[in-house]
Amino acid sequence: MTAVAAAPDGVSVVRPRRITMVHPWRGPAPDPAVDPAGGLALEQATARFVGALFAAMVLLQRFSTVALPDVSILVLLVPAWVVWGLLRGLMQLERNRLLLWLAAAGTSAIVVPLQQRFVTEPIISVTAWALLVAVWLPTVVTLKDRRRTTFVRMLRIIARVAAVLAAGCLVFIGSALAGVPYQDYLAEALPSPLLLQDFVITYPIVYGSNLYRANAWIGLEPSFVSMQLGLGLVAAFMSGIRLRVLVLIIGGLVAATAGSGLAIAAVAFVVMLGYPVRNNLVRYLPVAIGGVIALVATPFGQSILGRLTEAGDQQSSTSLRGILPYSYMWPRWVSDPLAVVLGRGPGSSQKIVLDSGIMGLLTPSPVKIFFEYGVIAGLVIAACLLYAYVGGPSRALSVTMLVSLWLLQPGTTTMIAVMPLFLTTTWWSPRIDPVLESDQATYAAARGWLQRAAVWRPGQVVGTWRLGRRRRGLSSAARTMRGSQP
Amino acid sequence: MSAMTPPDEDRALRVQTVPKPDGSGPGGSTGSHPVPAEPLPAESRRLPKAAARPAPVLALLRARWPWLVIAGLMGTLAGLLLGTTQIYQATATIRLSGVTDPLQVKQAGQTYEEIAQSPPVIEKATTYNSIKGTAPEDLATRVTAVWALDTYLVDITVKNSSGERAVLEANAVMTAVIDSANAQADRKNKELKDAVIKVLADKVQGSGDATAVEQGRRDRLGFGLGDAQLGQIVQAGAVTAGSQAASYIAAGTSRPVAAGLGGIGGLILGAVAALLVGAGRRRIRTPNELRALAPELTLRSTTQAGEVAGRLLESGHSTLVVLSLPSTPSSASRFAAAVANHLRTHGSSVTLVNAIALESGDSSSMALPDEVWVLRRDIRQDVKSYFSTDMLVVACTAEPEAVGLISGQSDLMAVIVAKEGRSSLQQVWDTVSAVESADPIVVLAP
Repeated sequence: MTAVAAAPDGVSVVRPRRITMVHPWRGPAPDPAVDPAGGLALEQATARFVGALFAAMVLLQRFSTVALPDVSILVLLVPAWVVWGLLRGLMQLERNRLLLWLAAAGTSAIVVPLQQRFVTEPIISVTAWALLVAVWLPTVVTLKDRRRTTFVRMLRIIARVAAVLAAGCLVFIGSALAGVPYQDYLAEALPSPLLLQDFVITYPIVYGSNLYRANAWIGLEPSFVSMQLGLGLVAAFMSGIRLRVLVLIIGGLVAATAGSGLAIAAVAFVVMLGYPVRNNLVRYLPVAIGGVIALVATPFGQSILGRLTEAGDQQSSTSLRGILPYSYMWPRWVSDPLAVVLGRGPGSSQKIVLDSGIMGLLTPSPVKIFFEYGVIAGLVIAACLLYAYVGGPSRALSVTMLVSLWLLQPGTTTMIAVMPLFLTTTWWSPRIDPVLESDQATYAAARGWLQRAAVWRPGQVVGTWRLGRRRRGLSSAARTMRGSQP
Repeated sequence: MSAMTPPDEDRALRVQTVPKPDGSGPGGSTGSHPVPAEPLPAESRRLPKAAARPAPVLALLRARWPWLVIAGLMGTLAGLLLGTTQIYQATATIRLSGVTDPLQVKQAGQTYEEIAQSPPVIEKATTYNSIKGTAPEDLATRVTAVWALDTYLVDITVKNSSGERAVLEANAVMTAVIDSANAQADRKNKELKDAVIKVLADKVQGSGDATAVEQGRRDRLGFGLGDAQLGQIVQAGAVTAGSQAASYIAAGTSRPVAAGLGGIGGLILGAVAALLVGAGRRRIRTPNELRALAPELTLRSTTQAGEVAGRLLESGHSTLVVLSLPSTPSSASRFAAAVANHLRTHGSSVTLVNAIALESGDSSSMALPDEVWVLRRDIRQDVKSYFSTDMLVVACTAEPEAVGLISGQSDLMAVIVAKEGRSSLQQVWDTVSAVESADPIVVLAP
């Protein structure tokens, strides 16, 4: 603890300098009830730990491991981050998920020699197996401090990072509208082995247009940028970020002109309708309707609108993600009964999709798992993966990540797609407080906006937990508590 | 013990077996004190099973390392048995030309995918000297052709257990595809030429200027033939060798790789089994192992009787209960006596009640003697009156009757004596849970 300049009222304010975390197996973390200063330090450290990883994901999403140019640097960064978290005492092993991960890794390894022996024309890539195991390894840990206050603090960091990304997207579009032609500055500045190749970094909003889908120059693909912004939008709403930040993120989401972020936000808000928080959603309705009407008048809105009805088109993005993979892979899976039981081999679905000649065809999680590893190992892997969605502090985030990663995104071995799940759900599970959506008072965004609009006054709505006044409350509490210290 | 026991042992340290209570009912006496002879509560012969307390993962895996090794070896063996010979693959590439429309490129590419794998082409490839003797049916199962998306290239890949052979076969199939395409073009040219010659040979029938008409017909036919030949030439040039196969790579897994994967899988599944089974049934081998598997226990050794005696004196309690797990009666008796001696050394007078049936052999002889009545709360709270001593040390087996008398109470000190290599962790946990209120100490006897 370090004494800092005295407060105006003469009370000595003591600010925690550095969190002194107890080693995981040498003792527990500070108990907030007994040690409020330690609890606050733990809360800050945990939120920053997770938020910083989200920021790293946004910044480093295009970078590869130099030794393996096809593998994202995030595949190495996340396990390293987890080890650091364990050493700092911010994380601990989660027994159930560890068991499931071990079962999945072991079963999928054992099944490979069986595939080689019994399956007709197996396609086996040991690297693909190792990638699956490595990407899901971070599920075996959980955060020690999983309180609601810590989670909301982390959401605020995610929302701020998303706001910066959204600002980058708007600058991207603004430069295009100003007549500056698109250039991939990152690719020009860095040697190609440092960057992931074979990704569609960006492309015109409509054929022949000079307007490209915004990726803020750092995004791997507009769809991933949109996904991060969609997540940031939900986080901003839940954590009570100011309305202008919400609007900024929505602007970035529109500039990215991809459906994945909109899908995340839409599913999350639909889930919220089933909880008391829906009362706050209603307050946003006029703003939302006005925004949608204004949006459809723009080329971005037209493009997004087109995405909503494109599923019937076989070459549409929706079809290539959600319909065609199943119809294309099914006959190739059931042609050999042993392939149904044992799978065609790690990486086989990706190989077959690449050889299909169908541009943009993806392998969704269910296809990948069962096609490559068969029914037996596939069920174990599916259990491991699905359990990562269980027990998070926000039902809306859990469900929207499930829909996104199992239906829309390549959510099995793409670390950039899987990471948000870890950051917002898995590492916060099992939750220790009721789900966030069960308490409408947590959604201070509406209250803050209404307060500024002079519609609502503090104290008018009584909640058990008030984020909007949390900062002030904590500060005064901390002053009171610290004032007694020498 | 003898070194620590003062000469006036009989006065201060009363090592005794308390007589059975009077069977005449409440009011029976032991010496001058009335000892009620209420029957002990009839309970199950087993202690209630303690709630599962998962051991730390790493400690558990370390304790169960033989499981991991055995499972890993079994997996390796399975991988070795199931693994097949290493397969290699070589790829030759043909190049399409003469078509520019993307849709036509795709059609042409996919057409040549089929042609490259068709029986006539495969059969033709097997006639070349480089791979002569290869059965067409065998080669057909090892050839795949794939048009690379958005290119003019079609990859022809052949797998073989010999890498060099795979290179030769891939080149042979590529040559066969090109030869086949050329032969097809030649045949069409010839058919066209024959048709033209046939037309040329036909004389014009009818009147008029036969020479001029004939000349005109010949000119038209000549132009037609020229156009057709040009078209065929263009078509014949539509397939060329893109690149010949020169090297080969491993395809799929080899036997060592399969063995490695099997070993890793076995090791991991062994870990799963170890974690699922837990450490409950495991017999404790060393104090360090017990410390690792159950870090929340207070663990002492049999040489630390003095420390236990000191704790008892500091606690202010007057009763120490030494609970013996199965297979540890003599160790528990000795430990209780050692603690009693230490208490005596500190100036306390002690009554030591050894309620452990030392006879071993059949299980019925291990039934608790009736002396455990001394554990009754009223007696423990009035040791001075009942025994005329300051302290009461009771050694008894951790059976439900004895544990039931002290369970849920904290006005005594409890020591649980386990034995290395004999007592299981679950037995320790069950007993610790039963007397948890007394903040028990676990003593591990060698």
